[in-house]
Amino acid sequence: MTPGTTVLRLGRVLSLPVGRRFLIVAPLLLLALLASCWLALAAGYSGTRAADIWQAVTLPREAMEDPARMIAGFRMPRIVAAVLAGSMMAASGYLLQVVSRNGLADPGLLGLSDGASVAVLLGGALAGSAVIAPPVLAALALAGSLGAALLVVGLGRRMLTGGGIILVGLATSIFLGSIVEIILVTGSAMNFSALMQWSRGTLAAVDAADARLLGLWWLLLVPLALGLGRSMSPLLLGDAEARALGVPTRASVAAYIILAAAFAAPVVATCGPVAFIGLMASYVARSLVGDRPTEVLLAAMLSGGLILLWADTAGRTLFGPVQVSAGIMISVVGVLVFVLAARAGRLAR
Amino acid sequence: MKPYLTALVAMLAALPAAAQEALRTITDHAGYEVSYPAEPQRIVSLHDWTVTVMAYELGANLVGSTGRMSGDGSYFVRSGRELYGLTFDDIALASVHGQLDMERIASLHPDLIIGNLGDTLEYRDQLATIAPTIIFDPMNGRTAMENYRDFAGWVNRQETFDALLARYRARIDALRPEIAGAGGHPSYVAMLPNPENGSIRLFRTYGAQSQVLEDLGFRPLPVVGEVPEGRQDANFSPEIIGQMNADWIFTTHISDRGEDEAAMLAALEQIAPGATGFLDAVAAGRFHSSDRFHVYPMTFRAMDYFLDELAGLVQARN
Repeated sequence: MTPGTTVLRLGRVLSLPVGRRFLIVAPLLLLALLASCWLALAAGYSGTRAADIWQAVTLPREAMEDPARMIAGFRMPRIVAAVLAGSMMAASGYLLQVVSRNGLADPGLLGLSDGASVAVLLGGALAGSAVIAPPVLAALALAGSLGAALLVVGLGRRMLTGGGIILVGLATSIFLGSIVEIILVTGSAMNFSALMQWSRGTLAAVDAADARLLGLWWLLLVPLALGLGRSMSPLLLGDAEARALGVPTRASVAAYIILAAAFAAPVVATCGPVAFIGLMASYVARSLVGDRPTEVLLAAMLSGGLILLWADTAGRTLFGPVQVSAGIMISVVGVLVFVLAARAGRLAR
Repeated sequence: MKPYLTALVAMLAALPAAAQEALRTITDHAGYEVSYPAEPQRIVSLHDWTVTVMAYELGANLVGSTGRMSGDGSYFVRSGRELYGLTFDDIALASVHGQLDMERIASLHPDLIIGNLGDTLEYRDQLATIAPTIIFDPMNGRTAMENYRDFAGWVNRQETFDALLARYRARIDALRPEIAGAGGHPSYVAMLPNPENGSIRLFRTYGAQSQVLEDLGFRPLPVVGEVPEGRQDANFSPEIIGQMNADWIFTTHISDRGEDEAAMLAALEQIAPGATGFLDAVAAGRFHSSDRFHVYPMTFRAMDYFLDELAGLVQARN
């Protein structure tokens, strides 16, 4: 047995080696997340009693009093969405870090956000003066994000291993970003004000339908990620080593990239591009639980949920009546974490 | 007994009709069908220099509005402050512009919310859970006056609108010969130099400013047709200056930023060197910049303000 691990057994059915640090850290992160959700439910413009939160969580909408209805209608979907979106961006970021064997990788590197923006803007141009309903905008963003990921995988199919795919992702991101700029420059500023708001990464417009959309994707993708998790350790060793261990590296890398895009796409569609979570959450998770990929993935998802929840709660409550978007709050902290991560990486080399 | 029963049945039958009379149903500028009290008592506006100022001018029952933060950290109603002296002592701050706080809006207990398409559409589903929500679009390709007339109908102030319109038309008729000249339909272009990206923005319409000019008989230069149909404005390369030699050139500035007409001329010269020498309107003293917060809103007070400016300019030239 590897030092620092414990084997969880369930008769002859299950025999699972788990890091001891993970066994301590994961429940603590989960507790912190639950406590944070409660605090976020209590924080807002109007005063909140514990009884209001209890009502909002336990009663049907029609049986609630006004304060509880306010919590259930506005705070709860936002909190659920923050936790889900944060965990999905973290998963996306960590999968990309495994693929590129680079601790600084993040969904933004695949051009997902720019792909979504291009799709939304082109949809607006095709619609002319007609108004595009928000759910259609979300679907466009989703298609754009996934389209960008497929473009990157297609263009970089000869460089899927060895980290070259990240360079292709960066180039695609720059190209799509230029298209966004061209469209914005030729358009009216007022027409794109909603897009500009969205492009900062915000949960302000998230409602229950958005939270449900994120929940569905989360339920679909998390089992897939955990199922594919077995090949993550060999991939981290390098291409030759992974192939020697029987892992089909090209197919695995392509699958991880598409999975990373699928994790990020619904988040970009509902909240806009939220940068740095993938980087920050993975960095925090590795510091807390070590290097076992599946454990890092789970810890990163819990950390990502916590990070986005706190960023959004702080942004909507600390500076009232000004509402600071979660994307901006995270970017401020994210830059510091980015520098720390880069520095730690250099020291490790 | 029978007459009483008949009366009771008639009363019950009339109840739904009475309830329906108390409601108004409209199709807003985003295409949503919205039902709300025919005489709304607690209107919250989510756009200050379009919706708020129109509602205030018409005497609608406005209880809250979005606002902007000024340099000293206080909040103000853009154009409401400049045109009507409207402050957040008079109405409540519903949210900061572009940063809607649903709980703050809900705390005002509105019976009607009116937002601007560009800023509000993505929040509509949430807002509609608070109160009936109407989306207003000042840039839908129709004239500013048509949109204002729609708005007056929505807030049940058609009579006030008609009275203000009649007064405005009388003033236009009186001033047209003096401002536009005896024979004439002077050409004009409404533009904004943008040194930040080196472009010139041309306006097909610009709220009260372009409404007044067209009502006075001014005609936009053909180059304005380059602005795509249905759009208020578009950005162009400075090379377009060659097609901008109109009798009058109008632009706007923001006084709060310390800008004035000289600053706008300097900005134009910066992105199109030599433009001020080339454009006849500049040499003839017919390049005019107005304070943006005074002339963009589509209200009669704003149109009066711009008419006063034009009349003053013409008198000064004579």
